[in-house]
Amino acid sequence: MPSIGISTLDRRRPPTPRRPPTGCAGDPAKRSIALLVVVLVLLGAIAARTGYLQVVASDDYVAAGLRQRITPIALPADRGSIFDRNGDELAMSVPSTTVWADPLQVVHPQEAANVLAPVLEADPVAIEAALRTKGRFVYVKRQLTPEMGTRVAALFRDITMDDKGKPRHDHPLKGVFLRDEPTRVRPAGDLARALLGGVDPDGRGYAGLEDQYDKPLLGTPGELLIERDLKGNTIAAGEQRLNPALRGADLVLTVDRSLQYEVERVLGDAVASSQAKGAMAVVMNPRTGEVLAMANMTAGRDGAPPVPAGSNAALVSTFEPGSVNKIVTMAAAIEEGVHKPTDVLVVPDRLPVSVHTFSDHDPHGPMSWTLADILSQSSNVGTIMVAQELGATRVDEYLRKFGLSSFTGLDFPKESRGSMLDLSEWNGTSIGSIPIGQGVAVNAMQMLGAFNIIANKGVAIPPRLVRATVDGQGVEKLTRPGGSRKVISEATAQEVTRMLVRAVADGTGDKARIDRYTVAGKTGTARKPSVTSRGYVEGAYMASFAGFVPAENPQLSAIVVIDEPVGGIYGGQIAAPVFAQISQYALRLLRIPPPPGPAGAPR
Amino acid sequence: MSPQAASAPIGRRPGRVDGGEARPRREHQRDQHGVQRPRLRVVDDSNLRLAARRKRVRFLGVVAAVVVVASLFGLAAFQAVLVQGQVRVDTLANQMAEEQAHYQQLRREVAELESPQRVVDEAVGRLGMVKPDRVEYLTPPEGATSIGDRHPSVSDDTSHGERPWASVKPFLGAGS
Repeated sequence: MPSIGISTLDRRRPPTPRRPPTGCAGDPAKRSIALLVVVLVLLGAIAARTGYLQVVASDDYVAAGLRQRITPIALPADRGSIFDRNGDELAMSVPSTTVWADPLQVVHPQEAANVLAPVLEADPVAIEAALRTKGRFVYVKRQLTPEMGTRVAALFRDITMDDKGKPRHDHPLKGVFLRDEPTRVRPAGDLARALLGGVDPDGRGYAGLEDQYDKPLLGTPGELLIERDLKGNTIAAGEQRLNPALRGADLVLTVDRSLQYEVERVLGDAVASSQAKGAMAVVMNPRTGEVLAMANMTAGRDGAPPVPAGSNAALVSTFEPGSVNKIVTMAAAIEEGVHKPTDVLVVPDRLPVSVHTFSDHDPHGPMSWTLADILSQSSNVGTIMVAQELGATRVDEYLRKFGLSSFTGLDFPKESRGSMLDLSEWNGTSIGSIPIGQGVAVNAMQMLGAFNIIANKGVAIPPRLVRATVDGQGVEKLTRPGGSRKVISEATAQEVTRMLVRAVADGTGDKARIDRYTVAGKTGTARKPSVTSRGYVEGAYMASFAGFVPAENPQLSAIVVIDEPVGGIYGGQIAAPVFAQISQYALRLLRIPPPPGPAGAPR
Repeated sequence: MSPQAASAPIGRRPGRVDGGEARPRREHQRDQHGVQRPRLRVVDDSNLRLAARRKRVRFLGVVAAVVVVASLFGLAAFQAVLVQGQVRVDTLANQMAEEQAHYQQLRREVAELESPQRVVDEAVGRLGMVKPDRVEYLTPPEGATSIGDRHPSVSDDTSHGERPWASVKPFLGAGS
């Protein structure tokens, strides 16, 4: 029934507005609270993150920020120069251009290689291979010559900049860069090459004086920290910290560049004319121990002219000194009172000692010779007779006193101390061989040191190669000479000097004579010991001459050693003239005047 | 005192003409002694002080604004000058580095030109000089001072060079 239906409808409650789904969102208050909670949570998260950034990790982020803005610029320390005694450069460091690449940034390796190769005078394939290597840094070519550096800089300008001087974004050399790098140069070429040694591309000395004095020469690298913007411009009033590089100390050698040149030139001529394997010479001031020149020449390959050797044989290599060693025996005999220079000995030309018979160079009958005659004639037999009277112990003692088998004190890298048998190891023939310079190995510097003792009135003065160091501020520090020691008396030294003067005036060393000067010296000719077997190399000799001048007042001493000359093999023939040539030049260069009056006997 | 006069509106000057009203005649009152006096009232000056303070504050505000604006401009100008200066410093630093490198190259060139081999090559090859066969010595006349006594020898510090060390060194490594 409709009425029922109507009444039913009427009884219904009026419809209430539809409510949204129950929950917090439905209630504005709850919604606000929820929103507040969300906001608070977000704010809390932000606060926590801020606290973490500002408090916990602040240092890391500050550092990261600085790393982004601050560009560290390495300031390489200039390696100190090496000067001769007059301040002329023998070795110096100059800036040069180095080409390097970041292979990750290189976009066109082949194109870049083709562009660079002609300018760098290098193989494009090798350059391309370098540009394709993995990693962030590779050298393309280091330490270019000034001319090449200029050409490369121009090439970079042309390729990386447009006509208006603005950088191009895409170019073949993308990822390839230039940087300045110091390079070591020797303005006088290979002069004193073995003495100076070498420096590797990283500026570290690896041989010679460059190696020995690497630490003071090196200096201390510095750093400049600059804050830069995105474009690479320095931010004004930004961070700037300068830790300046300290230049390495300079070395001032005792060597004279002009003399060194002349010694090398004369030695080169001697090597060429005697077809020798090489030659070495040392020139010194016996009074101060200063080395004025130290030259090592070696024969050129395939008939090329001789060139300065890579190894400083005068200190590094040893040889049997031969007859130049006889001065030690004579000095010992006189010092010990065994003989006076005027004592006469009857000297045969052959003398058996144990199982070996020693002989003089030229056959002769028994000769009545004084000690001076024995030395001037370079008689092996006479010297052995004197040594036998002296006895093995004293011969050994004086050889060591004269500096044989001891380091010279120069501390040169790879310096040889020579070799001498211990007295207990002597055999029956040692008293015959060792006094005449066989079975003993010395370097040229040691042998010249023995002559310097005679020249210096019996006093041994340690040699010096470095006169001073000059620090980065220009303060010169003279190297302290080593202590001197008395080896023989002045009287003995003078007696031996007279004997040496005779050896040059009318003995085997007559080709060492110098007009108007009195030369004291001794020749030496020794066989070369075999390095592969016992005994000596057939036909291989070391010809030498050592001496000093003026004998009256020695200011210059020198030793010349010719390695394996062909034809004339005697020291008197080929080493003595070289000594004369070198000494004559040195006397004039160093302004050592001839003694007044006629040259001849020393006073 | 009449109550009317006493209750005069504050801040309103007596006798002031409002609108088109005629200026009222100045009223006088007599004191207890019968002396006639002008009508007086106590003026509250707090409004005046407030106005003055407002004026001062306004003035100071303007001054502060000007100072702030001027400072900002000054700061901007200073920053510009600073940046310009920095650019100049960078340019000079680059120039100095270039000049230093140039100096080092010149040092090298001089050293190479002075090398004995080059001097000999020039002397022999270009100038046609020859080495003498022998050295000629000049003997001083008798009575002359012995040269041996005063002649520099190899042991002398400066040796044969024309330039003593101290005069050479100051020019080396400059700026490095």
